[in-house]
Amino acid sequence: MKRPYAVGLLVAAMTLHAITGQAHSLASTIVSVIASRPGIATVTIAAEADPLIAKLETLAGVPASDAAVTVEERRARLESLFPTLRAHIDARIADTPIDLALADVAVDDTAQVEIRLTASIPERSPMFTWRSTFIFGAYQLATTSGDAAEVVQWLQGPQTSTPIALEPPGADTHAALWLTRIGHGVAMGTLVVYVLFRRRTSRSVRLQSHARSVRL
Amino acid sequence: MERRAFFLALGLAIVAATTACKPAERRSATVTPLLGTGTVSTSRQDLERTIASMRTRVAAAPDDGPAAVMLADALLRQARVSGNAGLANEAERALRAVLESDSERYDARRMLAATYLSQHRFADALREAERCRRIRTDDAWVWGVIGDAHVERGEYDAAFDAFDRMAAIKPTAAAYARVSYARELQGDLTGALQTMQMAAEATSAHDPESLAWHYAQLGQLHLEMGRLGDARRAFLRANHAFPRHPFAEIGLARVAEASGDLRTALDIVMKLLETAPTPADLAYSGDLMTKLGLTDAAERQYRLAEAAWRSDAPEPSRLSRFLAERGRRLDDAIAIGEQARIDRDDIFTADALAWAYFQTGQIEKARTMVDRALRTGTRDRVIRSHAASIARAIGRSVRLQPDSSVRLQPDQQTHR
Repeated sequence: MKRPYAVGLLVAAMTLHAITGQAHSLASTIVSVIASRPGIATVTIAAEADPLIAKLETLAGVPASDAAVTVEERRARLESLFPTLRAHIDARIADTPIDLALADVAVDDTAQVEIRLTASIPERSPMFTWRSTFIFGAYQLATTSGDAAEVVQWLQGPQTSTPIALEPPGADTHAALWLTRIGHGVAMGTLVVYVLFRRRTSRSVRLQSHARSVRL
Repeated sequence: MERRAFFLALGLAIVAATTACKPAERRSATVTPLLGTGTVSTSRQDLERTIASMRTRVAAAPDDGPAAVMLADALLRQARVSGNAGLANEAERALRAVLESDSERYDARRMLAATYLSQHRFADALREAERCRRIRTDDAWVWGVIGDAHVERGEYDAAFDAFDRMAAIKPTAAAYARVSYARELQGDLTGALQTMQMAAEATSAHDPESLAWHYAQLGQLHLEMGRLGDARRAFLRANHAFPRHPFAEIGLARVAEASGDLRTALDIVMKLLETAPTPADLAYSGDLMTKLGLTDAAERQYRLAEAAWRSDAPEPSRLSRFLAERGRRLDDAIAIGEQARIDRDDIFTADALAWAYFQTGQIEKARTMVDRALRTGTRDRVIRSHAASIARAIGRSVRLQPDSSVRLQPDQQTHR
């Protein structure tokens, strides 16, 4: 039962990405959010490096720089523009802003960039919301919680996402394990009580029938 | 206990056998009513309600055809009023799930064609719509999609033929609106206005989203003709039908600008940018700031508009036009415009290229391209202004008549 489900998810994810790639009027920016481990959220912003640099320089109020040509130049510029990027992100857990730190900037030869940000989050009830003001169009916010499939929301510009529970992978498994253990315990307890009750009842029945036969 | 299990298994087997033997429902002819035509309204609240309830139905049963079609319809309308183009992708996903279980489901397939239009996948839209047309040649709605796709690709003869067919089959509000656009493209603004008025009057009060769209188009036509009072009334009516409709809001900004009230115009656009920013609105705010003498602020808006057109809402044709009209990166404007023309040879892309060629001294190319931009007989002020400048440079007058190759004449459509 589990295997077809997993295959279905994979196919759905592949189809979704294929569709996203074909659409013409959507932002090339994709934001992905995952609780990578208990207490840590990782946000990955995938975008075209040069327009992102242009937007961040404009939002920072600095003159437009000459077009970057190397991977290293693009990475350096994006790292230096990180304070502006952070100022245009409003990520919250339970309505409290979280402090995103720059973990990594990876630029490839086709000028695509992946900016990885991390933040500490509370381990319990982490309802997450996302809002950004550096994208001027519709873009994809993909959140992965626990072992569930990725959930995609389409946001327009500064629109705030709907809240989503952010659990680390394996959280469901742990919860299920605990529930299973509790279930086993309850079942075993019930069985013991039942056996004891049966034994007592059958003994009293035997004693009663014995008494009856003695009277007879 | 064993007897009960036996009878339960027997019952299940009978139910399964009955289900398996049930003849497949013929769905090809089924058409889910579009929003605004039935009992479901298209007000902002009702659109949101419809989306929420249909999402629930589709999540529970992805092959629920009527739910998927209604969801897609509502999502495409929501995309129009919110600017969230991503909703079209959700619509496509819902429709594809239905078509996987019933590939011939007609209403899902024709809605898929409309979804492709919304995604600017004009060739795909045309292919799907043609497939629907082969199944049902009398569906006016499909002819509308075919015409729209041809218009966007700059195939005006085919587009106008499709709109003619659409109006002949069923003269609905949607058909009138398309005839109106065909007339506008051919320079007949009076005819366009009359037909758009008919479209607005033929729209159900139960469909406020469409009503607002039609009145916003009416306002735009009045504006083109310099009738500011009528334009303002039409935009206000659109806003009344569907509060905060973006086309109505931007129309009111244009009226304020044309009336000389640049501050009010800028306030309206800046408010729009706070909620649903688009590259076009960024560029327009830059234009207003330039007129107000706020050159630094205007430059900021232009830089954001350019970057946004490159990555946030990629539309090469409009980016090319933006760059050409503002004299920015003209080599890029030419490269982007030439690339865009491979897919769409429409008059606006041709105008962008003509103007970029002209500004870079490529007069002969500019002349060829401006002829392409004028080929429908459009009265578009920007195109006419560019054409006049190019004509002066090469010492000839601007041709005012459309090419004879465009068959549809305004008067022919008036009486359909």
